[in-house]
Amino acid sequence: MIVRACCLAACLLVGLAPAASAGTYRLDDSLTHTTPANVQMQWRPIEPGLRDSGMQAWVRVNVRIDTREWVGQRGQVYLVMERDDSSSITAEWTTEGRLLPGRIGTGQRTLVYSGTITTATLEDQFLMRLQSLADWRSDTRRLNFHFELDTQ
Amino acid sequence: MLRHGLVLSTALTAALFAFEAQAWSLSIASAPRRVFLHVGNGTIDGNNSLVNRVEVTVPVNQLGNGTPLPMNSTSTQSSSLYGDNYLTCPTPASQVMIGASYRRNNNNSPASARLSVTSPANLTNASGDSIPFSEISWTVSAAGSANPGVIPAGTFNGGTQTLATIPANTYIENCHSFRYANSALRAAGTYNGRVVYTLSAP
Amino acid sequence: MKKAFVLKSALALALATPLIASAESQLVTGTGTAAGASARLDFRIIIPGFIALRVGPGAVLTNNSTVGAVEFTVSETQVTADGTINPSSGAPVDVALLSNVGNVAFEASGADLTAGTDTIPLSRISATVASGNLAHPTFNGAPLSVAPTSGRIVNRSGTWNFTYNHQGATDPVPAGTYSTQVTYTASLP
Repeated sequence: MIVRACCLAACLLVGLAPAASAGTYRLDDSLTHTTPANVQMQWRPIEPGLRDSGMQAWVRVNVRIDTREWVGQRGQVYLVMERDDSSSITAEWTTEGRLLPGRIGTGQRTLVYSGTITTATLEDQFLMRLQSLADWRSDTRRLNFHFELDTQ
Repeated sequence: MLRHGLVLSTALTAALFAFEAQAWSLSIASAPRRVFLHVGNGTIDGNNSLVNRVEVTVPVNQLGNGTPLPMNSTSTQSSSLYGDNYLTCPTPASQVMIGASYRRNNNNSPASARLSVTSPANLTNASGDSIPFSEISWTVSAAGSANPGVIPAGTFNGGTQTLATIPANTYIENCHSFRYANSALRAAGTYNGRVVYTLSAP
Repeated sequence: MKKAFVLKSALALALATPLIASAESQLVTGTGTAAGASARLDFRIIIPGFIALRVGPGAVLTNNSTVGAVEFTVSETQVTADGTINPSSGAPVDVALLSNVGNVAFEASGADLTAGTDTIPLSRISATVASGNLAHPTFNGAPLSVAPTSGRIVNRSGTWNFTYNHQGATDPVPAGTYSTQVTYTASLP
């Protein structure tokens, strides 16, 4: 009886560790932080012919994703910019090379890593530029990001 | 049985915590309201302390004869500061370029900025003689523009005059050519005066 | 490298919030937009100084080399008597003085009238203001100070008339045509 119970617990644990099944899983990026923590948008230079040349800001994102649960797992890691109730904003970044550069808008996601996860953390530093038109509903807003993993 | 059940419960709880991993966020503020103005030589989105001068020397045989005389400027600003470097005022010696922009986030007010000019009552010389500023007027132009009169022509009135309104997130510019009315014989001397253009978004 | 450059530019913009008063171009951000951005423009009008004088033919602001002439013809009945002789031609004389330099020194100088070796003193000629507001300076006297009519502007004009005080009885002169040229000069005192 005891041996079968132990096997049942092990099997349940394996089933509850999400990496084992195909799907999309949110990753622990709670140690990811930006520099600065608060950003002031700046006016972009006026472009002739455009009604609104918009605003931009630069920020460094120190990415640290806890991937201990996924070591050995093959999949794709995406950066997600969650949608807010204001106007659209785009984020475009370059990296130090561990993750992929890219571009996303609010409510979108973009691939930053594809392959087998071999380490307990995925770390990189993004130089990210935020751009938007001057059409916000308020003078401040909060952008929420997260990383998620697609497994096959 | 009870001990294994406890291990199973713990594993389930650990898995649930893994799903609630925190995301990261960023607080951003919109760019603050901004007004930019240049008269003659200027630096886009910056300060430039060079003050240009518009002047005329009246020929002796035309003193006070009522024939207006064109005035020349020390400005060398022929290309637009708008970003396209367009040759808006190809002859800056007789055209003073004035450019203005007002930028704001949608949520901010007012909807437009106001461009005005303030002139003193008179130009004066070292002997105390004066010439009314109302003797100086200007026409406007802008090469290649569909709206060369975006800042209208006019005449100084010795006070503050509203010249134009600039809608949010727009840039306006044109060229101002000044002339002296020469409507009366004036005492000899060099007469000086300064006007101040102001762009405000109260 | 390019990205680093753009970042620095963004930071520069973030710091660009000076409120320097009165520049030829000015950028103002934030709450300062209430006061506004301002830019100055200087104006200068140069009015040259001048003095223009007209005595007789011509226009006051036009050079004219024609010299006017006032003639007195003494008749046979007047020649042996003392009396005032009016001009037979050339009078009254149009005059004008225009300037923008304040007070003007105005003088008239000339030699006695002569006919060969015979002379008639210039002092026998008298001038009067027939019309207008420009006085006649004393022949060979101290300059007349002509005051401005407005500010430092002198704008005076009119006509002068002349008479000849003939002394045919008390101081007769030989027959002849006596003449002289008077020069009128307007200058800064």
